[in-house]
Amino acid sequence: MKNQMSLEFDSRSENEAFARVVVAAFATQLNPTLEEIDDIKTVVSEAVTNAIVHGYEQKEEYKVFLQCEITEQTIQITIMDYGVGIEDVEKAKTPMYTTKPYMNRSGMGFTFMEALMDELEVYSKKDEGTTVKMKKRIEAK
Amino acid sequence: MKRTSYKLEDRTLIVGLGSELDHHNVSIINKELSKYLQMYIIKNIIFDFNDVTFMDSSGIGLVMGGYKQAVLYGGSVMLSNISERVDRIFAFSGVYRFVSKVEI
Ligand SMILES: Nc1ncnc2c1ncn2[C@@H]1O[C@H](COP(=O)(O)OP(=O)(O)O)[C@@H](O)[C@H]1O
Ligand SMILES: [Mg+2]
Repeated sequence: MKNQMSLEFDSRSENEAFARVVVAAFATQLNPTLEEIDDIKTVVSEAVTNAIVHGYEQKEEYKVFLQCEITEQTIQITIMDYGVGIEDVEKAKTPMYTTKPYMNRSGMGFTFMEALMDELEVYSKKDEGTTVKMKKRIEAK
Repeated sequence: MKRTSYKLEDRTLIVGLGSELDHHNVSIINKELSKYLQMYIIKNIIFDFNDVTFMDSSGIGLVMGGYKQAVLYGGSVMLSNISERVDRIFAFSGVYRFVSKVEI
């Protein structure tokens, strides 16, 4: 089976909840467990929050792009922004590394994405934006 | 969706967290929390997770931010009614080195 959807929405923090609920609903066709749904909601929330908080630095007039693709038992989730970009992606992925500690960010976003998904790829260029691509296989029940 | 509630008992602030702990809601809670900390003499903070149905890494930021405040007043931060999933997230991220669980 192959199925695809894409969505663009304003870079407002209200849309963090919207985005994770949409992806969770799209993923239900793979018949995931409650735990797998929670994993998917968490990583979408992390990546969308990063686009809004870091990429667009909380300016609300920009767009976040979300794309999901189901191929057989695997869901691929792509989240993209045209924000400030990341200079050193490997460093950004380090557990507890954050450039906004004064905002009470924990620096665990990428660590969660890595732990809860099977694959994580981050493409980023300073001043151009960031694309986060994640994959998870949902076993057939 | 459930909102956050605040209850002051002696010098302990009990924060009854709402259902979804993401960046959006945690920003609101942080603002409310700092108002309480300015208005009242508060030593300890208890975060009650009873109604929490979703949490991402913003929840870690909330708890650790509360801890940084509480240590300034010689107090502590405690967590109650933690679900299995939230417990795993906190254990994984080392939060229990700074805060402990309590039954309320
Ligand atoms: N979309 C993005 N645009 C720009 N910078 C980003 C983006 N996503 C992540 N980053 C950078 O990577 C760091 C680590 O991200 P993360 O692990 O989610 O931790 P946190 O969000 O708590 O800072 C961020 O502090 C930020 O500097
Ligand atoms: Mg993050």
